[in-house]
Amino acid sequence: MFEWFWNILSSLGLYYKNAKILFLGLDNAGKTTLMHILRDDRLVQATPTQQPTAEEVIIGSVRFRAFDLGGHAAARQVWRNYYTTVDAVVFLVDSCDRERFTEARQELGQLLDDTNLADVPFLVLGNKIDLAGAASEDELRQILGLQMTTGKGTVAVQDVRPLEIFMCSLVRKIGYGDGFRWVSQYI
Amino acid sequence: MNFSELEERDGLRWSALIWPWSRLEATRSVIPFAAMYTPLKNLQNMPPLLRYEPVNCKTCTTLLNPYCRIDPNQKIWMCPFCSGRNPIPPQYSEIAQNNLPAEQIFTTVEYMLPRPMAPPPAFVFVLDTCVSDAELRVAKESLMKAISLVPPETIVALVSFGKNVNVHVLGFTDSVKSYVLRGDKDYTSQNIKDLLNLGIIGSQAVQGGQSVAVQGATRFLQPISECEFMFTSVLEDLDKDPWPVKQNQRPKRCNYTALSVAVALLESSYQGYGARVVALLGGPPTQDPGKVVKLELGDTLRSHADIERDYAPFYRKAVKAFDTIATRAVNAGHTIDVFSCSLDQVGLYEMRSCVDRTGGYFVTSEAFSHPMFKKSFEMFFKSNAEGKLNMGFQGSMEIHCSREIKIAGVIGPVASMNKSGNNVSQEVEYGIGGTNTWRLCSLDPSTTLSAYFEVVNQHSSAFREGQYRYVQFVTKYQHADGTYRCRVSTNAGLWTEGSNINQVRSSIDQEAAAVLVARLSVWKTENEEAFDILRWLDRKLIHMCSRFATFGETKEAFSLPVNLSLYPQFMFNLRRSQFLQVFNYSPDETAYYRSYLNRENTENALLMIQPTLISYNMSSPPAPALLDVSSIKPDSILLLDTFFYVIVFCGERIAQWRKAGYHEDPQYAALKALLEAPKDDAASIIEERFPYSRYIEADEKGSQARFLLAKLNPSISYNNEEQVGQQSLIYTDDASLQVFMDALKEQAQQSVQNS
Ligand SMILES: Nc1nc2c(ncn2[C@@H]2O[C@H](COP(=O)(O)OP(=O)(O)OP(=O)(O)O)[C@@H](O)[C@H]2O)c(=O)[nH]1
Ligand SMILES: [Mg+2]
Ligand SMILES: [Zn+2]
Repeated sequence: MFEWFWNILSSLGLYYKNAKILFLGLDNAGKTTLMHILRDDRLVQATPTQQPTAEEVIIGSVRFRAFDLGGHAAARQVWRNYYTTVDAVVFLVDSCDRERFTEARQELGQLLDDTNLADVPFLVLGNKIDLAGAASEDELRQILGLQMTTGKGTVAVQDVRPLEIFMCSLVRKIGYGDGFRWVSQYI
Repeated sequence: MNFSELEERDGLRWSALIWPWSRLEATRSVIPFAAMYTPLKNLQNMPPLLRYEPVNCKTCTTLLNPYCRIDPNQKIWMCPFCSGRNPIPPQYSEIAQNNLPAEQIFTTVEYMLPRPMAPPPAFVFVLDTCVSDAELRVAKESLMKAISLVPPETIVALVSFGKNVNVHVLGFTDSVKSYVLRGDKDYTSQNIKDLLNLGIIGSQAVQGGQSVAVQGATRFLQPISECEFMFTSVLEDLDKDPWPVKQNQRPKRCNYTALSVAVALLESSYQGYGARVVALLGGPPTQDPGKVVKLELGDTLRSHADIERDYAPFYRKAVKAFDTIATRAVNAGHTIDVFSCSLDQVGLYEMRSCVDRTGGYFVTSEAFSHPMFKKSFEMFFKSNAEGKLNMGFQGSMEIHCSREIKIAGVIGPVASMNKSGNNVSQEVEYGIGGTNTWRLCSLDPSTTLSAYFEVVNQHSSAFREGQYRYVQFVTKYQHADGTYRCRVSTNAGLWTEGSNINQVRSSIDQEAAAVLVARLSVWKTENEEAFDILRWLDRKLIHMCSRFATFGETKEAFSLPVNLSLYPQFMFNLRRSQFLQVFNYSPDETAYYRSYLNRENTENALLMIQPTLISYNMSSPPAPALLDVSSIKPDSILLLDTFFYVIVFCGERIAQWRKAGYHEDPQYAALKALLEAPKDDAASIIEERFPYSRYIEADEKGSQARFLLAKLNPSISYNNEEQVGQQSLIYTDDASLQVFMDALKEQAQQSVQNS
């Protein structure tokens, strides 16, 4: 009912929900690619991210400040500086890079165990399914230890952290929309 | 004369050597009437230093140069700039056509002025102690290394900071002592002077029983030869900032006050002499003045998007605060260099005027322990063959020009000295204008300014064939050896009648023109939206092509002369470069990149805009390759140099062979040699480069390959994936060079038809 009101306010820049969403994952997983798609609906080829950057993006009906943090080993040291007041984490995995699945699993595990992120909803995106040899959702669940997730449904879960995996291809622009719709229920 | 000859002779590269005579026709040439000038370039053919004062024109103060006509009979010389007549001074009484002084023969000379020597240069080190113990240890080691590298007479001081500022006593003391100033207080320079007692504090007997005043500042500023022991002791004693850091908070840092104190130390005791503040920063200022982010980690550092949308609450205030420091340093002629070592931003963007206006260097690295810091820091303090630092201080550059032109401004590591004159344009301002003299607080052989001019002749004014325009650059500075120098370059260029477009066209230096336009476009980012700047670049390019290209019935008939043929590609790459596309870069990174574009010479600046690519394979010697994704081949290795990083990229098959260890097998010695050649070449590039470049090794399809892919023309992108099979491609919606060129040809043709 008040939607028109909020829309006007936000188009005027008056309504600025300082919701904070983090894009995390190993280097080359596709965080920056995702950020650019959300911002401009276009693909770009970026260099590996060095210092964290932030963009304002609209997901669903909310404006977010999305943070794109570098994923190479050294850059991961700053991830924890961004854990306060996080509304959601999007963790990207390159589903073709089998050599680095263990490394991805470790990083994801550490994030899930971090007390600062205890209640924060986690959306895991298995990216690059357009490529031949990409792991299937089941395989990725297995390898990342995500057999127990909270379900892709729309029902709100209580007393557990929302956690789910969605497969996607950023370059084909498929899959991540479902993921974002899912996660925005919990914000 | 070709462009590189002129550059070797005078350190000068014009966007075009021949200019149309009238304002109207000059504007229609589209490219800016401008030059890249490297005042301290090492010139092979410069005559030995002239050990006397230069002679200047009484009317316009231009210095005697080869274009002056001498009349030995009347004992006068004629100034080509203002047509003024000057008496030949007595020391030149022997002057004759066959007995000319060097400044009458060589277009670039350097005077060593007969003045008392300047004291040795001073360095005030500013060390951030809010870093880990390990990092602090490495930073201290680097400082020790620095003072071992510079000549022992060099003056040093040490300021360390965390929540507060410590100014360490290095002279007249036997024990480790320091003065503490509050970090969150906005001291004026007078406050600081009083608190540190920088005035005269007593007297000291010197040889001959005389007593001289002792400056309070000398307790802090001492020659290395005198204070090396104390300096070492102070460093050994220095710990991490003791102020506790709360959970989920940043350390309390007072970057602003620390810099302000360092600048005050020099202001009060070293005004007018060569000095640099060398700051080693590990994080952002969290205390006012100059705060860029809150103490709480929940508050994140501002991004480009925040600044654009005005969601960066501390931004303007911090910029203003740091601007005042920049102004103070410029007024005293001192330089600020910032070495930032952090994985996240430290507020370089807010500090950019401190570095860019004072001729300082930005060096960034992820840690003090990273080679990009360590090696750059060492290179910075390396002496030259004469045992002196490779830098000049307290410089100023004045431009003189003949009356048909006026000065529109300068872009480079300079600040205005607000000297107006009738050679200063009132109509246009490019970069820092409104003056004919600029301060160069420091300069070195790579420092390159771009100077922009305006043609003021009316279309109707009469043109004489063979008429020249004159420009003279006079750069005064303190050499690192303490002598005062004056480098003078005088250039004469031909005018041509406006309709004579061929002459202009054939004299264009596309590389210099591209860099001059690139600097202008980056200058615009201070006040204009990126989108508008790209549009501006496009319009300029279209107009330039419609002016200088030849057209026919079809699009294919479009052609540019050889000396302009690469220009559109330079613009294509400039549009895509990190100088104008800030996505995926933090404001700090942007400040860093732009700072180098605005200070390096044409060759290096062009390298930043359009990197070079070399391809290595088994069957032929290394050769330059197109900066295009089609250059990626499974059995070749590519070497890309972007100035800021150098990457060696192995094609897929070569990477497989290497992973399988074939190169270890003596049978495949050729593979081993192939793998080593580009690495050796990369190493020799990096050895010469300041700042020390990042070195990357990558394999096709690997994560690091993106350092290469992002710089290549996406001639094969995912849109035409079906046809490419195994060939590497780029996932992008960016236009390829071909698409860009097609659009350009069409637009240029249209613009010709419409005019
Ligand atoms: N085939 C395929 N490639 C993709 C897809 N998404 C991204 N890529 C490519 O994978 C790479 C991912 O790069 P980025 O988005 O820069 O990765 P990042 O996660 O930001 O990496 P860091 O910045 O190093 O942490 C790019 O080269 C993309 O072109 C996809 O869905 N399919
Ligand atoms: Mg990235
Ligand atoms: Zn004159």
